Amino acid sequence: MVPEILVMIACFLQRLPARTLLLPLIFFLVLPILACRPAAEGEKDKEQVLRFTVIDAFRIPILATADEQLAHARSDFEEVHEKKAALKAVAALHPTARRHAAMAALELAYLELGPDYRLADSRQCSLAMEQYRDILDTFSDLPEVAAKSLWYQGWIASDLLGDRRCGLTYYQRIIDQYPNESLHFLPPAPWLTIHRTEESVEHRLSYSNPGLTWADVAYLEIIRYATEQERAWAALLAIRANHGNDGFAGIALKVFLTGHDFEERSEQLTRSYLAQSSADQAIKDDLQLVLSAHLGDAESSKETLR
Amino acid sequence: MKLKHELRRCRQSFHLRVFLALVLVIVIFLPVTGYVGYLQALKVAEDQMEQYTIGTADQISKRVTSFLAQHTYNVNLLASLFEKGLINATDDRELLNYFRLFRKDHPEFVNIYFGDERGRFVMVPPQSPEVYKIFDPRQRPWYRGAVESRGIHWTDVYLFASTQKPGITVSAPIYADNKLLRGVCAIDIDLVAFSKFLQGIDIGDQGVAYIFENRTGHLIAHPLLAGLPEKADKLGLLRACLGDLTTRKTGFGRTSYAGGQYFTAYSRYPGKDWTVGVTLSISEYLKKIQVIRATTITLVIVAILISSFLSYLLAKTIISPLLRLQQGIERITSGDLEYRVAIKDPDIARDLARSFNRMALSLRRSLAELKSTYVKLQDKEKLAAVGKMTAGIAHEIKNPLGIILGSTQVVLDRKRPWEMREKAASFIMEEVMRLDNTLKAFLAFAKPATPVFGEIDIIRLLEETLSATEERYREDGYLFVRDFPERVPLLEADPSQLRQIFTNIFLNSCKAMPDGGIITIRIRAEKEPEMLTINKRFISLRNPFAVARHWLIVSIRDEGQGISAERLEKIMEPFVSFRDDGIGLGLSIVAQLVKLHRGHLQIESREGHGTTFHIFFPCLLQRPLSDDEPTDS
Repeated sequence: MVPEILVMIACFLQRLPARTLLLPLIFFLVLPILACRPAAEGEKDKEQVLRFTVIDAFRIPILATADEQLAHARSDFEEVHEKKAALKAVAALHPTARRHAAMAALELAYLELGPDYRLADSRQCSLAMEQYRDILDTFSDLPEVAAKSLWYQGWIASDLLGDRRCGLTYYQRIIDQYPNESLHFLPPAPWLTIHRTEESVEHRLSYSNPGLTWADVAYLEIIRYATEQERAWAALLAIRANHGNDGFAGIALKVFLTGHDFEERSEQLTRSYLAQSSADQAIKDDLQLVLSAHLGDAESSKETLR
Repeated sequence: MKLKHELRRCRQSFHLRVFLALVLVIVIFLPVTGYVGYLQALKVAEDQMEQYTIGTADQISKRVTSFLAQHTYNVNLLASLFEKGLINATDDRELLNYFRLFRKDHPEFVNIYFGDERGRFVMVPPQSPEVYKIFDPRQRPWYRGAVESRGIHWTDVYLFASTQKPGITVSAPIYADNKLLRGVCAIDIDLVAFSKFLQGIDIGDQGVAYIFENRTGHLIAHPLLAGLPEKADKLGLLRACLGDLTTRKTGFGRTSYAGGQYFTAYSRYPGKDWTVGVTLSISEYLKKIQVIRATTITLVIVAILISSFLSYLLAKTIISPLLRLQQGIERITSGDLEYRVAIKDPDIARDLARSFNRMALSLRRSLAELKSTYVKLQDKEKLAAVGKMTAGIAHEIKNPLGIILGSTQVVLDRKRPWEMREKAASFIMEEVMRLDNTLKAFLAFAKPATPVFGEIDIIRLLEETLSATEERYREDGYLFVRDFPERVPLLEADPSQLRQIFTNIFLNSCKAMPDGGIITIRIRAEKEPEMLTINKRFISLRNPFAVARHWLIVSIRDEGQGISAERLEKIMEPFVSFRDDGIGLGLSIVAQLVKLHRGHLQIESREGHGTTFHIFFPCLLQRPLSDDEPTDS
């Protein structure tokens, strides 16, 4: 059938003069050239276009979720003011995500202390304290935020401003108001994995999850800064009650031994800790050293250090 | 039917066949050449892509090695400074200052820190306070690793708590002069630098280079990690590639994913449980080849079209002289022997035209000779015919004369009774009348009147002829059936002679059916009708000099008893009659008159099936009959 059609066409063409065929010929020449042109450049990339907003004169990307917005704010910025703007954007762009807004606010308050809190002056400390107070007022319904805010206020007061009494007040408030609030260093972030499981692996922090509460670290600070021996001892016992003889209890014991008078009860407690085979060896070495120092057994301490 | 006819005509067209032959060669050869070229280019490009992918993965490995080696040097330098006492490890403030300066020079250092055997820990920038309070460096992998290896230690890759981006720590132990461990210094390195480096590699929009940990599949470096937080949707491709190549136990190969083809090459990073991967989109990489393909297709199509057009012209050029020759042959065939073909084309066509013209010249001479011969032959035939006629006349006259003589004697014999003499006188009268008729017929045959030609409408003439005789024939039981087309071409003929032709044939047909019957008259016009069929049922008288392409054919058919083959051969001869009442000149006169009109006479007969007279007259055409023009009724 096809050859016959071709013959018919050819027969038809045969009857036409060459001049008549010129126009169709040009048409057929142009048609494939147009058809074979590469696709327009604009069509090949349909990348998602990010929208931006301006906060404090910085262009901040508007991300889809509060998680992404917070992750972006936590990433590295060359300019600390840009980081602050990014943190502010979390609450501004995702007003319903209160927990994320609170986390961002905590980081903003921390940034008030400057790049290194060890160099923070009293004005910076006051600004940070003020912000932590605001956070406490604003997010009192979020216990993990409120507990952290209280602890930081206590820390600034006792560690940076040297006001131990004030600091202990905040720590005591944590123990009273949030005795069981877990301490999270940072919310877990997913690893990106290309294994077929497609399951995100939990964020592996550079230190293990301590299994601590804000009340535990508040007790530790009470041990450190309480001038009353009994108050510190009570805090130590509270930690032992929660943690037995684990590493954190060892640290608490070491802080107690280095900051308070040596007593028989503390010696017994130390010896019982040292007798634990499962206890961390480094802590045990420290405790042995402190114990030896208290007992005046210098030789023993040297041997331990070796 | 028309389509089939058209197709048959097309197939027989030499022009078309030459054209199609050329086009077919082009249509097959050009695309095949283009396709083979494309395949070769594709193969080369794919090989290049493989090499490029594998080479890129190796280059990345080398770059990573160089990057890590630089940090090995840095941490070694730091440890040496401690060991040489250039940094006072016991002074926290000095340590902090030094670390800050060191970090300022190396922005890629996320953290620089020092931990000692007593659990003291100094870091720039500082840890968050809640971490610092409970932090014990001696429990950390970077510390333990350095102590256990007594040298440089690289930790596993982990995510930084602050930036949540992959990082790695390199640490080195610090020893006192007495070989006692004083502590460990370490540097946290942000591996986003890898991601940024990979982001900068130009491997196409869909291509991606990445580094992952073999055991966990964790992405250590990927352009995704260098930019803004994004969903990990793009990792589906990498998972598919990893799964595919792991199944095939190969380090490189193709993978199909989401309708696309990708090529992946893995390069194991030496010394670590890492793999450097490069995945490229084949279609994207082969885009240039696609452009080549598109260009090839375009060129092939253009070449086919141009070549077809040129083939058409070429075929026309080849055929044109042949067409002119054909035209010449037709003119020669139609009797125009003076016609000459003028072809200026070189080579064969010109030679062919010369030969043709020589042939035409030769033909003209031959025809002249033939005519001369024919005239001589005619003279001889005439002499023979005169002799034959003389014998026939003698035969035809002898009998009546005998009767006249006998009857005259009876008339002159007064002794005879008056009635007898009167009857004899009537015999004489009859015979004289018969002789008169015979002589008239003879004269008509021997010296027919010169035809006076005029343009004749054969249908009209036949109707006039029939109107004069049809009534009488109908009374005798004859019926004339007409099978005429609506219009026919005109004839150049003498109307009176034509009437005589038809009258004689009608008379002959009626005599063939003594008891009456149907006489069918059919007229048709044909282009080059078949007249040469030699069959026992036919007798054909052709005029050798009557040349025409278009003919008008009058067929007169009776339903008589027909004529046997033997009689059919003699039926045209003069004085040959197969009836008692005939003198045998009727059909001879018909044949003679037809010849005078440059026509042919063909008689078709079979015993028991009637006889048909076909008379062929050359047409006078106002316009030529087209091949497919229907002239038949």
